[in-house]
Amino acid sequence: MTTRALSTLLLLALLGPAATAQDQADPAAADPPASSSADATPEVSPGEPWDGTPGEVFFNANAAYEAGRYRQTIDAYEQLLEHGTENGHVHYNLGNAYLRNGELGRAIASYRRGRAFLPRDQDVQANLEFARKSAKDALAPPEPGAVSKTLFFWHHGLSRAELGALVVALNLLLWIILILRLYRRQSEALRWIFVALLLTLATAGVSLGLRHLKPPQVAVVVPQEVDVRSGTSPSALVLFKLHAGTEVRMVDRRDEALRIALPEEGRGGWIATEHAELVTD
Amino acid sequence: MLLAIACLSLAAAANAQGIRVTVDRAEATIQDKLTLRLTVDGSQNAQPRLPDLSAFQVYQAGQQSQVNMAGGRTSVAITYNYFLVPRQTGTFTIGPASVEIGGKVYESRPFSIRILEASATPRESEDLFIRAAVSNKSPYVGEQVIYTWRFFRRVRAEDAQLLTPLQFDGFLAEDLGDVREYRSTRGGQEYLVSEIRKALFPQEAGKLTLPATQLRCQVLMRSRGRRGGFFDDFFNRTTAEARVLNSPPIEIEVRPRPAAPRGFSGLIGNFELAGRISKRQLRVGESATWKLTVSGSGNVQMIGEPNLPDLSRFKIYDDKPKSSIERTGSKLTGSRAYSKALVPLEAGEQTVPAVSLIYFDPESGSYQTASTSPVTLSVTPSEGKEDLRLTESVAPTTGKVAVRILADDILPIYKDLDAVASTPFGHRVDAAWLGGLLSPPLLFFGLLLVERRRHHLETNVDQVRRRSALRKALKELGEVENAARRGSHAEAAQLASRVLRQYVGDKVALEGSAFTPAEVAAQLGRCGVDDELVSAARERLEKLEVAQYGGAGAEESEALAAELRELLKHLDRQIRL
Repeated sequence: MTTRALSTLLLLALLGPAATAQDQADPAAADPPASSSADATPEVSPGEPWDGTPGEVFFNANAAYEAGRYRQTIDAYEQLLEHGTENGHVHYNLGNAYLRNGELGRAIASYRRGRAFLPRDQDVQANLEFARKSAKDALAPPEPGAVSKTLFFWHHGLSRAELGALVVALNLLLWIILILRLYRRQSEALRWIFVALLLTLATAGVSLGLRHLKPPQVAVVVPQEVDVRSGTSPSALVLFKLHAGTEVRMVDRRDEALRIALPEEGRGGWIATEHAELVTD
Repeated sequence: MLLAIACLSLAAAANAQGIRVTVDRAEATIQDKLTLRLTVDGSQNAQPRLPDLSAFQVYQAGQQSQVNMAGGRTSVAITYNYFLVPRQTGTFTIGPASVEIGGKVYESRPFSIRILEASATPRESEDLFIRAAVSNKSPYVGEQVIYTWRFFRRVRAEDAQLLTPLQFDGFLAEDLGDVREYRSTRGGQEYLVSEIRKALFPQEAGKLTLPATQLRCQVLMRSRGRRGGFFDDFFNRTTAEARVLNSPPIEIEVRPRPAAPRGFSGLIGNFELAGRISKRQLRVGESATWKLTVSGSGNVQMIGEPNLPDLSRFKIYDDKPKSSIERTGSKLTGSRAYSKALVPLEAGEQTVPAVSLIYFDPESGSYQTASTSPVTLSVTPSEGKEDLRLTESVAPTTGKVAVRILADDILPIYKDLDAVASTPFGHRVDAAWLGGLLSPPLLFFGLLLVERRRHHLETNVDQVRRRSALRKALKELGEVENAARRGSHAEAAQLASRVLRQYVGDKVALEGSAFTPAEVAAQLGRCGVDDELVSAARERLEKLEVAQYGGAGAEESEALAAELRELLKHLDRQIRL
C-alpha cells in the first residue's frame, strides 16, 4: 500500500462518522408543527399518545402538561423515549408529569435519569429534592458523599456522554502531541504535556470504564407500600416495608426480584421487580 | 442574635422530653388482657407516675431502653410495659401519667378505654373469620373515622393474603401503626387477632362505600387417614386447606359541615392551642422565645400556623416548626409547635395579644375557637450596645429582614425544542466515539511509517542503492529498447553499456559510469560472481563499446535489451555483499 493510499484511508476514518451523521440528520425533526399552538392541542383521548415527529410530540406533550392532562403527557414523553429521543430534558419533564399525576416513585426515578444526563442542572436537582420531601420513609437516598464528590468531581459532575467526549478529546490531543514529537524529538515541553495528558486520559478512562462496566443501580419504590421479604418467594418472611419514592441500592437481581440494601450495614431484602423502577446512575 | 439562637435552641431541646401512654386497643371485653405502654422521652432515670388504673388489675411486663444518635444529637427514652386485666365493664378515662425531668413536670394526653361484657360479642361458630368496622358511620366531611380490620383465628393459619388491597376511595387514609397481634376472647372462645387500623378522612359529602374485603389463607389441619388416629397423633401429620374469608362492604353517609366562619383553620377534630413566652422581663433588642403549640386529634396533617395578631411593636424571627404525629394510639393525634424570637422595639409594657384558632368539633357539630391568653411583657430600655443586634446581623447595612418562604413547588417543564433535536452523530454515537478513539493512533502510526522510511532513506544511501540497483537497471533498459526500435543502434549500445556499468557501480556503492570493462570484471569477481558470468559481462561490455563506435547490426541491437536483462538477473542472483 502506498503512502498516498494510507493517508486517504486515515482521512476517511476521521471524517467517516461525521459524514454519516450528516447524512442521517433530519433537519425537520425538531421543527414544531407550523400551525400548532398551546390552544390548538390535538384532541386525543386520555392514554392515547400522538403520532408525529419528535418535535410535534414534544410540543403537544408540553401543551398537555400545561392543560393539566398529565396521563396524556406521560404517554407522549414515554413515546419519545421509546423512539430513541432520550435526553435529560425529556426525563425531567416526565418527572414533573409523574409528580403532578401523583406517581412519586416514577417521578423520582425520572428525575434521577434526567440528572444522569444533566448532572449539573439545578432545575433537575431542585425538583428531585422537592419530590424526595414527599417520600414517607426516613432513608437517605444512595448518593456519593461530599468528600467523594469533591475529590472525584469529574466522575460525579460529568454525564456519561460528556465523559466520553472528554476521553475522545484527550485521546486526540495525546496523539497530536505524539505526532508533534515525531518532528520535535528534543522538546521537553512536549514531553511533559504528553505525561500530563496521559495521566488525565487514564483517569478519565477509568471513570468511563467504571460507568460502563459497573454502573451503580438504584431501585425506586413505585407502589404506595411494598413488602421487603427475606427471599424471592412471595411467601417469604416480610422483613420490613418501604413506601413510594424511597431510593435504595440494588445489589442483586434474580427470579423477577431485586435484592436491595439499606444504608444500615447488613440490612436488606427482596422486592418484586415490578414494584421498583431501576435507575442507572 | 446569639441570644435569640440560644433561646430557640433551648426550646428545641425541650421538645425531646415528655411522656406518652398508649394501649394496644381502645375496646375490649372483660375477659381480655390489654397492653399499656408508657414511654418517657429525654430521660432514663426519671420515675413516671402511673395514671389512675383502679378499673384494672395491673401487671408489670418489662421495660426497654432506647438511645438514638442522629444528626449529631443523642436522644434517650425508656418504655415501661404493663398488662391490664379489666375488673369491670364500662368506659374508663385513663388520666394523664406524669414524670418530672429536670425540675419540670410533663403529662401525657388522657384517653378512654371501653370494656364490654364477655357476652356482648356473639359466640362465633367459625374457627377463623375477618371483621371490618368503622368508628362512625355518619361522620362530617374531614372528620376522623377509625377503620379497624381484624383477622380472628383459633386454628393455625399460614400464608394469609388479602386478595385485594384495602381500598378507601373518597377518603384520605393514614396508617395507625403496624399490624397489631393480640389475644381476644369472643363468646367464650379465645382467638389470636391480627388488627389493622387506619384513620380515614372523608373528602366529600354523600354516601361512600368501603368495599368488601377478602382474605385467602392456608388452614393447617390434622389429617384423617384411613388407619385412624394413632399414626396421625404419633407422626403429627397435618394437611393445608385453602380458605377464603369475606367481610361485607361498609356504607358511610358523610354529612356536610355547616358554613365555615371567617378564619377557619381547616382543622376538624378536637384541638388545643397553647402559647408560652420564655420570659416576661427583657430589654429593647433582647429576644424572648414565643412558642405556639397546636395539638389535638383529627386531621393533624393540616395543622398550620394560627393567624397572628398585630405585632408591629416587635420584630419577629421564625424558627422551623416542629411536627409530631402519633400513629400508635387508638386515633391519629399530633401537634405542631411554632417557635418565634420576639424582639421588642420599644420600652414599656408591651402586650402580646391573644392568638385564636378556629376548628370544627364533630362531636358538637359546631365551630369552636381555641385561644391563648394575652401576655404583657415588661420591656426596659436597652443599654445601648445591644440595640437591634438581631436586625443588624441579618443585614448589616440595610436592616432588611429575612425572606419568609410561603410555599414550595416544582420548577416548570423544559419547553425548548432543542431537547428533541438530532444529536450530532444520530444513532451512531458509539461508532463516532470508536472512530474518534482509533483515528488519531492510526494517523500517528501512518505518519510514523512515513517518517521512518524518510529517515531510512537519508541514513542508508548505499544500502538503498544496492537494493534498488536491479529495479533501476531493468527500468532503464526500456530506453535501450526504444533506441533500438528507432534504429539508433549506436545510442542503444551506449545506453546499454551505461546501464550495465551503473548497475555494478550501484551494487558496490561506487560511481559505475566511469568503470572500464576490466574494472567491472574485477568488481564482480570481488562480489563472488563466478568467472564464467564475469567473463560474459566483460565480453558484453566490450562488444557494446565496439558497437558504440563501430555500429551494431539492427538484429543484434533489438536482441540487446533481452540479452542484457537476462545477464543482469543472473548477476543479481550471484552478487554477495
